[in-house]
Amino acid sequence: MATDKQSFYELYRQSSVGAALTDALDDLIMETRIDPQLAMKILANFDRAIAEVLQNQVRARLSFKVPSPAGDAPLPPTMLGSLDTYRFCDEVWTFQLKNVTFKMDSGGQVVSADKVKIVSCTAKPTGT
Amino acid sequence: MSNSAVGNVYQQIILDVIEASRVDLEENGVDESILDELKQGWQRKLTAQQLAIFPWDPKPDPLLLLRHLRPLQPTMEGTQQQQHQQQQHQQQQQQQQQPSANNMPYSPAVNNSVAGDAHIKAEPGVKIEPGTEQTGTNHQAQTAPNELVQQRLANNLRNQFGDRAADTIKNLQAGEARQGVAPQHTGQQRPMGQPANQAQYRQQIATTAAQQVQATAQNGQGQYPPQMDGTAEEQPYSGVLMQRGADGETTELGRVEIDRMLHAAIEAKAKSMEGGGLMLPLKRATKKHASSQQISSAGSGPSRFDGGDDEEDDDEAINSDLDDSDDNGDEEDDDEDGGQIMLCMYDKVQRVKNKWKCVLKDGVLSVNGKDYVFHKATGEYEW
Repeated sequence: MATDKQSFYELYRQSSVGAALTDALDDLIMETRIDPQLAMKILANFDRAIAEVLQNQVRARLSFKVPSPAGDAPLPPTMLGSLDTYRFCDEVWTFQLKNVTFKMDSGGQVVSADKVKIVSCTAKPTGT
Repeated sequence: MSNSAVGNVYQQIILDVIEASRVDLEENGVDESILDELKQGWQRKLTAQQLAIFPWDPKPDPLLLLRHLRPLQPTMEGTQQQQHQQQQHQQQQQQQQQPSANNMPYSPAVNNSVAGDAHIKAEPGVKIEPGTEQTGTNHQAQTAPNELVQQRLANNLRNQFGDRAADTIKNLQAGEARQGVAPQHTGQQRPMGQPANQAQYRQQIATTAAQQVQATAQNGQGQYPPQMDGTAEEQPYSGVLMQRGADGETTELGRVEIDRMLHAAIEAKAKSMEGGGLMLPLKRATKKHASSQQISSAGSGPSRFDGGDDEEDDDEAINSDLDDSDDNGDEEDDDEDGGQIMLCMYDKVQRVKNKWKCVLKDGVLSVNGKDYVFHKATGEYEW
C-alpha cells in the first residue's frame, strides 16, 4: 500500500495514549515476548492510526485564549495569561502559554490551565 | 468537544493499531496472542491514568461508587446514630466474650481512615455491613437507614456525575441486592480463624468499622488481612525493592529508581538483540560503550544486592552520575510543563506585533489530568 510508505509524525507518541502504548510495549520487550524492531513497527502503526483517527473521526472544535490586559474585564495581573515562549524550528511550532482557557464548542465546557505547552507540526504534507 | 469523546477515539486508535500490527507480527513470526496482551496492557495503562471514561472500562459500577460514597454516610447521617449505639452495645457484649478483640488483625488502620476521606478505600466497613444484616438483631435497625442512604446516594451521584450517573442510579437497587451476596464471600475468605462463630466475627468487624476504632500502633504490617481490593494508599510500606548501600544500610528504592533500573535493563536487552546501536540516536550510540558496562556494574544496577565492592563502586559512580544527569536533562525538558501539553498540526500561525493567532487541527490536549481531542482549534494570545 502506498500509505505504508508515507511517513507520519511521531509527535503523538508523547501523548498519553502514545505513552501508554510505549509502556505496554516496553513491558513486552522486557519479558522478551517481542523484539524492539517489532515494537518500532507497532509504534509506526500507531503514528498512522492516531493521525487518521484524529483527522477523520474527531469533529470537535476548540478555541483557546489567554486573558489579555486589553480585554474588557480588568483582571488582576496574576490572572493575565501570556505567550511565554515561541519557537519555530524545522517546521515545528512550539508555544508555551500561561493561564490559558480552553473552550469546547459543544457542551460549552471550559477548562483552564496555568501552563500549557503546544507542539505543532505543519499540516501540509499529510493534510490532503 | 468534550472529554467523553476521548474514550471512543482512543478505542478506535487501539483497534486500528492492533489490526495494522497483525501483519507485522506475522512477518516476524510472533504469535498473535501477543496482540491481545498488548491491547490489554495498553488499555490498563490508560485506565490507570484516569484520563477519561473508556469504553473498555467496566461501566461505572454501583458497587464502586458506593464504596466511594458510603463512608461519608455514617458521619453525615443522624439516622445511623441509632444503629451505632446498638452496635456499641453489642460490641461490649462481645468484648466480654473475647477479651482480645481489639488486637485482632482486621486492619483498624483502614477502618480509621474511613471517617476522613471519601476517596480512601473503605471496603471493610462497606462490605461487611450487609453481612451483619443477616445476623438477626441488627436487621431491623439497618434496613430503614439503608433506604435513606440509598436515596442520598442517588442524589450524590446525580450531583457528582450528572447524566452519567443515570445508569448507576438505576442499578442502585440491584446493586444493593448484589452487595448482600458479595461481602459475605469476603468475610469468609479472610483466613483469620480467630472467632469460632463466623457471624459473630462479621458483626465484630462491622461494629468496629462503624465506630472507627483508634488505630493501634502495635498492629504492624504483617497483621493486615489480605486485601481483595488492591492496595490502600496509606500503607506504611510501599517499596518493593530495597537497596543495600556500601555501608550496609538498606534503603527503600522509590518508583523512579525502580523505573530507571527497568529502563536500564530494557536498554541493555534491546542492545544485545539488535547487535550494536543501530536504532539509537547518534549521540547515544557513541556513548553506549561506556554506559552499558555501567548498567551491569553501577550502584543502581539490579545485581547489587550482595553488598558489592566499594572501590569499584566509587570509580563507576562518577561516570554513572554524569551519564544520569545527562539523561535526566532530556527528560526534564519534556516534563517541565507537568504533562500539560497539546500535540497537534497547524494550519496557520499568524503574528501581528505581539498578537498571535493560530489555527490548529487534529490535536490531543492533555490538561489537568484529562485528555481532550479536537478536530480544529483556534487560539489567540499575546506575547
